Amino acid sequence: MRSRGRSGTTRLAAVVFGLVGAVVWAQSASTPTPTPVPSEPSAAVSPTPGTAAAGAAEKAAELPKCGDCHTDTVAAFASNPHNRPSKKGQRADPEEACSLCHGDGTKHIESGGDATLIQTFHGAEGAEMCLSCHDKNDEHASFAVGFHANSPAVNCLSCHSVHGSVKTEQSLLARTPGELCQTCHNGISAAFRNKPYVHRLDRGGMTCLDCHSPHDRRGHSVKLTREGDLACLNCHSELRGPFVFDHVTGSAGDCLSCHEAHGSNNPKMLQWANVSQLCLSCHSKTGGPATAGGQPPSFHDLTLPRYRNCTSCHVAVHGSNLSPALLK
Amino acid sequence: MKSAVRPPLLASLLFAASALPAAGQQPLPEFELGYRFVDVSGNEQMYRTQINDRPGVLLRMLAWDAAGPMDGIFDYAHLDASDIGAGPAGMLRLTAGQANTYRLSFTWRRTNFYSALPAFANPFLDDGIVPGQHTYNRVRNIYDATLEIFPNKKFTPILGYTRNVFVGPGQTTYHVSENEFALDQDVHSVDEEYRIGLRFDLSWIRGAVIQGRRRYRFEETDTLKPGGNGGNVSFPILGRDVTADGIDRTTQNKINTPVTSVWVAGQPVSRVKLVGSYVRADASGEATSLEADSGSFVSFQIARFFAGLNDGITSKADTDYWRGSVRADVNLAPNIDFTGGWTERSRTLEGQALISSLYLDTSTFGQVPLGDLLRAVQENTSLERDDRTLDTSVNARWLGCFSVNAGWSQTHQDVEFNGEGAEELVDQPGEEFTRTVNTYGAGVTWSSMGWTVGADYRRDDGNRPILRTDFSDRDRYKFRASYAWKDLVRVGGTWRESRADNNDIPEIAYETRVREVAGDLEVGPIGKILTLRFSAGEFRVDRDILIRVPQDFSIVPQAQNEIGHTWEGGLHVAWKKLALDGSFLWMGNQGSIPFTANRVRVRAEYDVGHNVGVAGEWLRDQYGEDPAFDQAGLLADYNANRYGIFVHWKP
Repeated sequence: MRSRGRSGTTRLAAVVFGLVGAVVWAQSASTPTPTPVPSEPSAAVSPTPGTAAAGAAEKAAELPKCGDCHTDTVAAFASNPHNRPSKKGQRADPEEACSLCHGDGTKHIESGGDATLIQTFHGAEGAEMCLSCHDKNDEHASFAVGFHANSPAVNCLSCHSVHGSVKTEQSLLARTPGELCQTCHNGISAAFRNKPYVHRLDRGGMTCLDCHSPHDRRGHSVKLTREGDLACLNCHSELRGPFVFDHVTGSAGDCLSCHEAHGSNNPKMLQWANVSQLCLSCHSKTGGPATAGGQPPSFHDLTLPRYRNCTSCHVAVHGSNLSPALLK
Repeated sequence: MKSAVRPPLLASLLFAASALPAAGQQPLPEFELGYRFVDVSGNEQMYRTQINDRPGVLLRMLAWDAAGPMDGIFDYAHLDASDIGAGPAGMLRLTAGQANTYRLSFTWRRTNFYSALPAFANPFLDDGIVPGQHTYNRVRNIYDATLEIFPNKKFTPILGYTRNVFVGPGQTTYHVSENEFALDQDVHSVDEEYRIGLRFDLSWIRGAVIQGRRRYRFEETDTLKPGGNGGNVSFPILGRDVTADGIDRTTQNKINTPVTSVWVAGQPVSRVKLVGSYVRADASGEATSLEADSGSFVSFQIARFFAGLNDGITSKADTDYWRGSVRADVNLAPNIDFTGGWTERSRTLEGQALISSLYLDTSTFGQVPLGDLLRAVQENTSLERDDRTLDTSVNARWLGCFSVNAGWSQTHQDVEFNGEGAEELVDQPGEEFTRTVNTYGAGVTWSSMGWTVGADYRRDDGNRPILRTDFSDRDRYKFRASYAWKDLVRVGGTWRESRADNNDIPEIAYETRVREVAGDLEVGPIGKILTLRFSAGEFRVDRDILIRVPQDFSIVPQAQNEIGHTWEGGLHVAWKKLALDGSFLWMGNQGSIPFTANRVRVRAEYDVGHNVGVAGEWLRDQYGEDPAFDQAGLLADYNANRYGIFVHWKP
């Protein structure tokens, strides 16, 4: 049997953090900090102070507006979160709002709509523009080092669309969460569509995002309740306890010790088709190292139907305040 | 059962409408409203357990985005809803606010919970009696509201409220007197949380402090089901029929939990971000139960026959939970980050139950009357669990066409069970278990010219089990490839496999292998007019473990097997005023529960006006278990058709 003590862990942690600290110190001293700035198109014109600016404004006033060509896009932008009123309580002029992300469009307009003369956003490089404002980093999420961190394979624009989001979704999602997640996680998505005992995904508003945090860090994709339990208890709160006679949840395992969250071929989304098999997986004393879970006494005759489903008697399998054997 | 469909919907709509003095400037909401018919043959209970689409009026969707007048209640609002009306689940969300004054988020979700399975907890299945004895038909309504005041300022006060109401009837069983009796059950559970907090953003340091108070109230009443006097045991015990004339039990549970959560994130130097968090939740619960039973009973525990039981139980359970974490994100080089963190969790449970049982008119097994017998038992339980996790990883998210990650984490777990109640769980009270799991992993993704190819591998190495199903070794593999070319072709496939075992402990010999392979193909040969979709998949589960059979204490292997295949196809046609979606799905499973499922989805929508479409839909679900299957077999089969007609308003 292998064992790793706490002191070993602490020493290892100290060494790792020490090395990283040294690297960072050295890097900070020698290298300027990179700031994600979208690459400007060559034709983009920077604002010019003074009379030159006044001249440019006069010239711009004579040009067509963005909405003259992109009529639907500009009209729809009125209710876009990026068009929320400024701190002065004023809504930005739609034309100004466009230039905040797309840069000065004068050359683009003058050319009659040359797409190379306006800033557009594609792939990871384009998504860096999003991160220049939305570089979230908190207790759970991190857009920089999370498992969906901006990369060529998956980036902000893989799931979000500023001008083409689905009306029934929040956060400017390009498609429904189920459709988006399916793009890469198609096996899991298929389980929800096919298996007979599933959470009702994309029906009645339940989505992958109820249990998963797409911007979270690696190894932390499952959301927790505020009390630190699995997200299951956000809905199934009557199973939270505390119970005088606890069962698996909160002691040694969790909901997923018995249940398949993504859908199951077994009733109650259990891991085993036969209830007694599930229970006896832990409640068997066959030797080896001591484990939690007692052995049922001999009157539990599995050849009789009434004993094949342990929950015929042990109804309070999630925990009980009344019965040590979870009978009520 | 009461339905709470109207209040949240109306409240949200009234709120939105109240802020529309200049309604003429606002876009109208898009919605789809109609009626659904349901036709089920076969086992309707099974259909309701798995699908549960109900007939009736259905608001399929509602979406409304508004930029309100500057002098109204809000500057912006987003309202969306889906599947409100005929079950099984519906949802409504509202987000509204004024840019620098407030932001209100409100969600309401309603879900029907229905379960009436033929085989689950049903000792009479062999006699062809369905459904089983454990059924329920309940409704859950969850309301959640959060109000942020001055959302874009340095300091943002936050108020929140969540209410989760779970009510409805069911049927359960109760083991008393060496027999199980079916009980009608009624559950009423209300879980509320009030929150007040402050979020701050001082540029160099950000965070939030939230204090919540959770209040949980639960009441359950159980009464002997009419006709259930004989229970599940039809034969005499010690020469005496065990029957119940009446069983009545009322249980109440009250739990109060103050919850404190704090997180702080800062950037002390340009390349380093630090995050710390702390959560504490101390729950204190009290439960009472009163029970009165009458009939002809027997108890081996007190070695007597008896004619009635008055049971009173008071119990108390307290938990102290806290979790703390610190984390550093370090930018080593452009697009290359190191992250390292430490998380510690601790949970203690103290429980006490005083069980007072008055057995009425007792007699010995030799029929000698002994009068009433009072038996009082005090049960104490305690539990301590600590988890400590150290994790580090390096993430190079953008190295040309590649992104690469690698990481290591170690989790150490201590669990100790104490008190008399621990006898159910461990050999000896006070027994302590420790477990350490090391996880190593790496992944690489390449993406270029429409191609994305990725691979991930994780290995977990555990030193000893706490539960028998805890692994010693676990390997997880994931491969993914996809290709997309404009809107014409998108093809993708994944292969995921997880192998876990503790084969180094031959007395347990637990081994499980789960494999999922799936592929999708989407083709758009005529622009956006026609899209064709095909999917195929296979999943396989093989799970083995040694168990000790209770009746003869022999050790035998047991296995769970699933071998499933799926085929799916579908098309989408958008041509002039017509939009047509159709799909079929076939799934077959072999193994522990052999079954097949056929599903058809057809929906056609035709625009009858500039803003109005009429949609019709047909959904078909066929479920059939193998007739030779020794659990439910043909008793579980159903064929369900749903037909719907909807009006789609599209402003």
